[in-house]
Amino acid sequence: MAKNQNLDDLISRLEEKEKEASIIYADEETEQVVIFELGGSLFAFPGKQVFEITTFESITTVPGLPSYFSGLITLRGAVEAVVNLKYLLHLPSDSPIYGTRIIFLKSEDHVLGGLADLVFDVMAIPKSNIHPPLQTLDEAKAEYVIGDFEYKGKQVALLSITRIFSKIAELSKA
Amino acid sequence: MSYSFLIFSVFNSKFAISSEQIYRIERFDVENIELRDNHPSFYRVGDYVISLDWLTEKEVTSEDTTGISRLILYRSSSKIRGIPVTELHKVESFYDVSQISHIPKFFRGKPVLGWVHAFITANGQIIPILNLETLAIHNLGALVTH
Repeated sequence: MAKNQNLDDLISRLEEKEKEASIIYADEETEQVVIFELGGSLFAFPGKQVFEITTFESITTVPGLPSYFSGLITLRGAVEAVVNLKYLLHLPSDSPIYGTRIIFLKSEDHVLGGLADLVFDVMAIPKSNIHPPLQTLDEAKAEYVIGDFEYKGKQVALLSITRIFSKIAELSKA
Repeated sequence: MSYSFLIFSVFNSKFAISSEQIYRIERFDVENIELRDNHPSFYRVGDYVISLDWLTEKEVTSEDTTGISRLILYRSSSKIRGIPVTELHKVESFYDVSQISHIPKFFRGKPVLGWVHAFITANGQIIPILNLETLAIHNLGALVTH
């Protein structure tokens, strides 16, 4: 019996810990993030650089467009390029499916779309909950990951939009 | 002011060319092809031999030419060049620029999409308008031009 009580106590303490983790103190600095799924893993973009999120309808592929682009799409009458994030992050690639989302990212004056399998949440997380990326992170992801945090018991890799734009600009010059 | 474009297909992709820039459109005859390294690179038009611009990523072989129906001739740097076409669709006129989009800022000044002048955006379709000044000279990687 005592053993069960111990376990009950443990569970209630874990629940309290969870509640505590979800509380954001008003004076604590937060970062707004857009959490999305890509190839079975969770990633996030800093919210201040996310321009718009739209549903995926169709993407036009144009001959000569490098494989780090999924294609082109119209957004409010303008043609914008959609980056193939799976290619950049070395994730297994498959064809886009209906129901996916396009996250439009803005850096300085440029806009690029990124194809996501699912968008989970847009939320503010305390900056203290964002930890430096793991040293064991594989090289392809390490180039873009600036931190990680926990979301509903799962690890989320926070991506640098600036680094993605720089990489695409570098590849496009070649 | 109106802008007029001929919309055509090359295999599975659609393109547009400014009507004013078309020199002539000919029926494509495989007999007039001249090969270079087994690649259909040239075409005889009367006494002249012109270079072909293949608007496709695939490495075109002689077998692919059976699907070609027309040849769009255009002038570039005082030379006549040709674009083999699988299907001509229509000439479409645009009276304002709302259906024409500039190439994304991200690509401006970069070789990627350097062969594109702008895009026609209509009925959810994005069709590149060819930049004939750069089509032949741009080394666009996958896009095969000779």
